[in-house]
Amino acid sequence: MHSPQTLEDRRDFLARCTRCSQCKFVAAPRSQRHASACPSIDYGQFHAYSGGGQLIMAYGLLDGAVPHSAEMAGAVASCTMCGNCDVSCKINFGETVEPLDSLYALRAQLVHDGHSPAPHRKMMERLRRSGNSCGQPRAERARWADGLAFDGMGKAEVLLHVGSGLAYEPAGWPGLRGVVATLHRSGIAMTHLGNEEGSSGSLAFDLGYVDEARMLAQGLIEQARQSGAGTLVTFSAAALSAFRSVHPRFGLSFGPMRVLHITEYLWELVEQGRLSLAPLPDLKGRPVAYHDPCKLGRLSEPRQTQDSGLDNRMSGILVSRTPSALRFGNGGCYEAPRALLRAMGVDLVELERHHASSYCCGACGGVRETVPEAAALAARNRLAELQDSTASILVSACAGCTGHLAEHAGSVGRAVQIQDLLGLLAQALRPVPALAG
Amino acid sequence: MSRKIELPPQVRSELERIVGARHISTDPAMLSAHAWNTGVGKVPGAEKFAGIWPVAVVLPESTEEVAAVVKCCARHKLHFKAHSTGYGSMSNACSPETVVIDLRRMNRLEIDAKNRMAIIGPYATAGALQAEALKHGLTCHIVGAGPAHSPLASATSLLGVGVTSQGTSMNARNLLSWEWVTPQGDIVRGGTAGSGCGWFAGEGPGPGVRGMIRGFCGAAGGLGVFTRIGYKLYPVPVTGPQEPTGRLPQLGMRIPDNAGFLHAVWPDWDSHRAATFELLDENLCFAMLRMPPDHIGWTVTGSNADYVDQVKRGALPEVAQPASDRNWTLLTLSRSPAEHAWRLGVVKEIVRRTGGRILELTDEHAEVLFRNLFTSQFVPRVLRPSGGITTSFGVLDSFHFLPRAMEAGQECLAGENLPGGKLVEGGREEHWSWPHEGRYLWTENIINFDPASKPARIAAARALLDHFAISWKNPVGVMALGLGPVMELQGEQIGAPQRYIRQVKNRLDPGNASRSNEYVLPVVPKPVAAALPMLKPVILSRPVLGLMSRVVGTKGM
Repeated sequence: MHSPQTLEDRRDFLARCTRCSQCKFVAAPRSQRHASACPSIDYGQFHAYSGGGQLIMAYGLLDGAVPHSAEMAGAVASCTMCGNCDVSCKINFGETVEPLDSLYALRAQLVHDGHSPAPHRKMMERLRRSGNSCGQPRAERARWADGLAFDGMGKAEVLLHVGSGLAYEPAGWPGLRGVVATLHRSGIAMTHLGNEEGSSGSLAFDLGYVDEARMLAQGLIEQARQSGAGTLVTFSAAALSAFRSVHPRFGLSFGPMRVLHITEYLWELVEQGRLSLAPLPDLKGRPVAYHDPCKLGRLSEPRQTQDSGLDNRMSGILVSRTPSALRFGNGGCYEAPRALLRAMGVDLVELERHHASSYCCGACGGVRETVPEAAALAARNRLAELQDSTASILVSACAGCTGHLAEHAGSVGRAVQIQDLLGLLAQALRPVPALAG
Repeated sequence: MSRKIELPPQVRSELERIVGARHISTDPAMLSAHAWNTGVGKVPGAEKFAGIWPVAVVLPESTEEVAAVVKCCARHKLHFKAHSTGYGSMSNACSPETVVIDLRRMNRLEIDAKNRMAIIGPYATAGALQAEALKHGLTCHIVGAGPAHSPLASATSLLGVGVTSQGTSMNARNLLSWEWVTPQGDIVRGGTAGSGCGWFAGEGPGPGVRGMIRGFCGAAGGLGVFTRIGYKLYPVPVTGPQEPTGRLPQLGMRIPDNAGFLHAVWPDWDSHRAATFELLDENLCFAMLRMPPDHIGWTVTGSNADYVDQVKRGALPEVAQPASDRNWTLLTLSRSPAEHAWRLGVVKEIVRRTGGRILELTDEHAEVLFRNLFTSQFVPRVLRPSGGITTSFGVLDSFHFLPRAMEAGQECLAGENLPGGKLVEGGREEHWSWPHEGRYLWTENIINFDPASKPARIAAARALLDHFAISWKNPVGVMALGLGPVMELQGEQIGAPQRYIRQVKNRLDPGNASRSNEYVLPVVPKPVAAALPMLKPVILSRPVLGLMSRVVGTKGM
């Protein structure tokens, strides 16, 4: 059985941190104001809050030099697990340190040792009880779909996975329902998992609950198989990240079923000529910036079920045993959302930190629920980046990012508008009638 | 861990009143980052944590808070150590009574484009400074620690050398003016900043305070805390932050208009040296860097796996082939097409006339190599293969010594970096060389080793110590690794500066509260000082060098 690496497995990787501080900064800063890569140290300030600082702390935990403490748990809980440190570190160190895998292992170690932060434990209790970390009733998970027509199990080509973030967020339903309705009008046979839709295991894995993440992943994969669909389309950036980069750590996959994010699927249909996008008059001539969600971007880069070990070659050069599996952040879902925006006639501009170096908005990794002031600071930092650009509209393809950024949009100076990509797509998507034969 | 000192509650309360309760910690989890023994530039031992942990770490926000922390330490007979971005273990605590003053919250950065300088705090990084300076057509000197380091720390407290020294000098000379919290906690401003005339100029003729407080090597945290400096910037014909080319991790930078980026090789060191003098005489290049070909190979490959694979397949480009070791990477920057044509033409003519030739570079390799040179990202990447380097130096002398430096580099590596040896496989020597302001040679022989292997650590220590031995017998310039106690052994060779530095240290910090292992020893008993020169032959003997290597490889240094 495949298992993610434990902290002990990561010992040599931890030991190789040279404390160079590159993990704190994006690889190619455009300004001092937006040079940071790490929302956690921006909040906590002590080095222990950074990626490298956590590696050192983790080594101390293994070594017995650093006991568990509230301050350690606080630093760990302030990390959004956004993976930007990993991207920056690899500029210097390639495959030899890989911080993110060690951050996952550190959280798992805290759980194993009974020191998981109390808010994390509560989130997991709710996840066990009701299938979502907010504790929303299971019976209401599919309320978003009320009144929409779907095809039955076994008859659908596409299985829609919504994810708990959107399923329990009525503000996002008009966009969701609009997109689903357009797909339906295009003649695509779809189904969904209703109230029983399972968790992808993304949050459980982020919080260090590895065994439960595995069980959740297995459960969802089984549900998907039973649907008989050939393609799974998820609206959740976190779920896509789990499917592509967490499940392979367990040796799990959806088998022959294709797995796509909704933006990838829609762009595919546009390219196939089955859908078209109308220009949005409200956005015409207004520069729009796109926020790369961590989960949809660098954290969705596909991971192989691989041997993560390093061999010692040429008397000391540490070489990955599976070099084809090395990930540098380039393989995330970056282009489909941008292509859709451009196809809507949007004047797309890039923020200073974009693609693999995108700055986390603070919503993920359990930080929003556990250390809300850290999550708020990250959002304000990201919004400040928008304010320093030529755009005043920020679009995201992740319901979590959109909601979190919108919540803090009022706390920054210049008026900014946070827009969910799904909502824009619902307005712009048009089915292309089949040619008369 | 050494004996653990508990911070008395009343001291903690005082510190909390100064920096705020949120900005002080005595928790081992928070202290661990200040006791991490990475051995960057040194040879680590088997233990990852240093023997000494600080008693607390504080995060002041202003110069006044730093001064108050220093005074609090003095009242309670505690030591202190300033810490900016903190590359490696250089800024670790040197006594268990040490309060680490982490200057992360002090990241002020202001560009004074008119006076071609920046006014920066300790946590303004080189990468951020360069991005801001480029908006004004200026750039900064970036030392080997790379874009994530603190130029203030480098300019005030250590050697401060980097691979673009030909065009951007070194930080002993880039420090223009400063704000300094003395070991007693007084705030002192020097240079023009001390006269209320702004931050733009250093001192005039006569003995300089700048020389006293940082000299050539810097006090490495042994003489108070520097909180703000005026820092020299250099004009370049590049404006605005540069969008990288390529894909992670192989980011490149478009070669600017009117810039020449060439890689030339020569058949032997004598012709290489002849070309060097001509290139310097004509002041043609903004940067000249000689790298060992294997390190170029590390740079043009995105991972160790890629590098080893290309070595085995013989697929590395010619610039990274062992035969290309007598090389210069040359960067010319010009303000007009005519100037560009002149510079490039003369460079090419000198290369041709001295028997050299210019190698072909693909656009991708040229852009990656250019970006790594311009941002000094090159140097942190040298740790990628094994995670362990140390380095020996030969500096501030004529390029006449370059061939001798190469021989010495080969001699001290003693074949250990050839196949079957204990050091990472590489070339005959591993010198990074560059000129400093058109005059001096700076060359460092990089010793790359696996820090997880004790035999490799011992071999690295031996190579480093052998360099001392070789250099003491037949000097190749000044050895810049004369930090801390090493100063006592080699100082006589260059006028015994340690005697004067010791007086500065003891006059300004009689209690040694500002404690550093990389600064002069405050006390050296006269008999010891007298005996040291006599002990040199003993220290240089093979059995003693062997014993010292084993000790260093086991315990670290």
